[in-house]
Amino acid sequence: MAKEITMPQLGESVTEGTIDRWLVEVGDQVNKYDPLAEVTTDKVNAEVPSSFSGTIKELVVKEDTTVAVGDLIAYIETNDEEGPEREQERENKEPKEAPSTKEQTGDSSMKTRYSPAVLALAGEHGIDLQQLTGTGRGGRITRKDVEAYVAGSATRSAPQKQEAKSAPSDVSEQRQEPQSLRAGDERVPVSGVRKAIANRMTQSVQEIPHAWTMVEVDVTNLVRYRERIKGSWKEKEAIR
Amino acid sequence: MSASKHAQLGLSDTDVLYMYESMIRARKVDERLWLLNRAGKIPFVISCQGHEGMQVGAAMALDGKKDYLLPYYRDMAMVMHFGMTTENILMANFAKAEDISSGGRQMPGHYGSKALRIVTGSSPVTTQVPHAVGYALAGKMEGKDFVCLTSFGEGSSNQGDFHEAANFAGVHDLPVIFFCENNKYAISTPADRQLACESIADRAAGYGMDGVSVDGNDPLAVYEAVSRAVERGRKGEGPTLIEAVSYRLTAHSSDDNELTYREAEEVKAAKEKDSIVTFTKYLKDAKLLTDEQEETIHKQIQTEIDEATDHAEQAAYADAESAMLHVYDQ
Amino acid sequence: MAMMNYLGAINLALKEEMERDEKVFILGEDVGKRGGVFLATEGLYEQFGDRVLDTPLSESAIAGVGIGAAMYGMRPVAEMQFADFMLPAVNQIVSEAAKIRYRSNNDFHVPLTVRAPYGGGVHGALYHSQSMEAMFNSIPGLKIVIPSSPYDAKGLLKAAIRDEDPVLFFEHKRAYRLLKGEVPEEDYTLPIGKAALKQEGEDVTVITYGLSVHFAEQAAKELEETGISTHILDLRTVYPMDRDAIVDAAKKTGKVLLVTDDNKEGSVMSEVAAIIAEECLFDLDAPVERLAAPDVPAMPYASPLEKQFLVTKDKIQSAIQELAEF
Repeated sequence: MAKEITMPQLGESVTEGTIDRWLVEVGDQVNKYDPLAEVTTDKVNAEVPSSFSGTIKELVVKEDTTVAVGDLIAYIETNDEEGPEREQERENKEPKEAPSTKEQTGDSSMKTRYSPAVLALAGEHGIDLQQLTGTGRGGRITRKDVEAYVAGSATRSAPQKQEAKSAPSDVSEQRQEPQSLRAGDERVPVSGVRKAIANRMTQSVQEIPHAWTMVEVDVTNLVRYRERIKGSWKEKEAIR
Repeated sequence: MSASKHAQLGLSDTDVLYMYESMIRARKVDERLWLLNRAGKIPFVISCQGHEGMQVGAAMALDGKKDYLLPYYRDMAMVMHFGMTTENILMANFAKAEDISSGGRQMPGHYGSKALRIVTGSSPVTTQVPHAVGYALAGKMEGKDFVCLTSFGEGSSNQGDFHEAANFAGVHDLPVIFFCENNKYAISTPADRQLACESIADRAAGYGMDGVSVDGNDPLAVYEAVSRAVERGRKGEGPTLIEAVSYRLTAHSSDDNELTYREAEEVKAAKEKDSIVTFTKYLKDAKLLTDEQEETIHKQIQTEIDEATDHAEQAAYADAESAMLHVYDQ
Repeated sequence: MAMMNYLGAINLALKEEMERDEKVFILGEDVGKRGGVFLATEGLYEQFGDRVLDTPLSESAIAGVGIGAAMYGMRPVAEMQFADFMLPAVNQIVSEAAKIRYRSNNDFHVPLTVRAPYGGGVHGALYHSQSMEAMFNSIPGLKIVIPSSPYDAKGLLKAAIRDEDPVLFFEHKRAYRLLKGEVPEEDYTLPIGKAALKQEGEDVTVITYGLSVHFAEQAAKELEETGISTHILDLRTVYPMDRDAIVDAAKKTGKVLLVTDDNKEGSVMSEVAAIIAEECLFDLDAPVERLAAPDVPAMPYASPLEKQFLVTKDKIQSAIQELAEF
């Protein structure tokens, strides 16, 4: 069966590694712990050993390519009958704690348990909480339920008290936060040559002094002059 | 002490009389503090009695204009010789706002003044020792030629901070003088229960520095040892460990009863070697001090102490609300 | 702007501060030629020589010598190789650095920065994974800063170095190479003592700091698709705390989830919970909840045990959902 070789974590805090050089080719026979590739990370340079004995089936990642820890880098054909499996996967197979999506199945045990916020709002606006339907767990009336109720009646009667908006606490910073991704945007990692080009371009912007100058000239008379002689010049030279 | 010893060390007659006055002043202030404590006027006393000779001898070897002092709680004579006044000491003991070390925030004995280059200290012992190394490191980085003297008891020489700091200073050849005042007791525990080595100075070898042990009752011997260490430090030859051996003539503090752990006879014998006694004799033998002069000096200092006591007693405490100040900058 | 990781931002901040002020120097174990075990000081020894000082292996001296040099007038940046190894230096940090300004009645002060990698999830086990901030977050005189992004790391570290008081600067070691972002090449600082509102939301407020901010943002993004809107406050400075920002954030939704990757009892979040209890009673719509590591001594080594201890994106996500449904 084909087994997967993944990028190992070479050092605490390391999240990616670069395949500098493959030490094997497709078709090579390798024994367990034979070196497969030279890998560079921020912290260490190391040879990655094979986790299995078998035949190299495919080198998934090209040389000089950086991949994340845990990413597939090669397949090895073994005589083992077990299906393809990564070391990492076993760990990941643990059941994920599924976010709870409990249905509100007519439970109304919390209907008359009011939170301080709900009581405060009800008192403030003179609301009879018996009139409201709770959307919280066990039919609990939430702060949002009361706020929605207040907003609803506000359209009919007096304007409600506006909750003061909390100002973002960042105002004293000298700089804006870097722009985050928007919906539909996709972040594509650069690698290899592209990365080198990007680095060099950034470097050139930072290291080469940039200068420019501007001179303002009033060419009104020049334009007028051109307009004046245009006709006679065309006639004389017979070209446009 | 041979009669011309101070001259051989380059000290003038005026110098040694100045040292003598500092020692007497410290002793008399110390005695006043005990009286004030027993009269219920000040809560706590920690004494320098028995240490005056070595403390004044050490301070005399420093340059009061550029060197730094990082003392411990028993160093009253040392800080006074280095610039603190009788009134400064009394203000601190009465915990008044005019206490230059802390404005009445710390217990007495926690000396500090940026202007005097005496670096603030705390109560967990030996923490000041790495600070001295930090000052010395900063001085080396800035190309200055000052030295830092930090003092501590023989008990403190067992703390990790002593060993870590000594090693650091040794590795980086820093101008620190580790000045150990061995008074033979860490509160009640005698030196032989504190130290597995013969002398504190033996510990220097492990940190690649010179180590010397001197008679702490002889201010001139201490002056000589510290002067050599200062010279080495200024020349970039690294740190020195000096052990000055003396005896604590009082209980550890006003809250301690020494007779529960040591014999009165032992204290009595130590008092005969007291530096105040032996140095007075040295000066008289050298014909630098007459009985008359001695009396005059004692009287002058006594008047000075009386006045300082009155001032301090009448001085104001810091405002209660000021307790909220100076946690952070501004 | 340049794209860099959290570690690169820290390295850049150190380099810029050392270029700006010759009083700034670095001391710690293996910070010189090696550039630090995580390479936070890489290249600095080559540029600044002995201003990047390899010390003997003795944390109390690293802190104590730093304190002395700071009192003299230098701006030392002391590196503790791992936050777990700070304990021998606690006496120096708590008895000395924190109290020197106060005890000397403002005569002396300690402009010292102590940097230390903290946190787990990198197979560091008990002694290379701990969060130490709770140990120091009731010590007036100290400031404790924990950045949550490369941008914050640079701006806050520069502010810490320029601060007139001792700052403990904890860096999440898993964030070093995991978090990447735009970091301006030019000089900027961020205010110490101020929290940052990361995103506005209507249903649940998450208050957290450090790497958990990143996980909270990821969780919030996924929950947004299910219609749950999350308000996220990054404390940035965990001591002294930005009380106003905490109160505002808690009042915003009335449902508060406090997240820390430290042990739960007596954590930074216990204090945040107390502030909310004092100030926000009539705005609360649900019990204030803490999501934290369990109260076992520290993080175990084996992967499943480590994961059991860790506060993950998934754990944050289900806790937000639970609160939203309450």
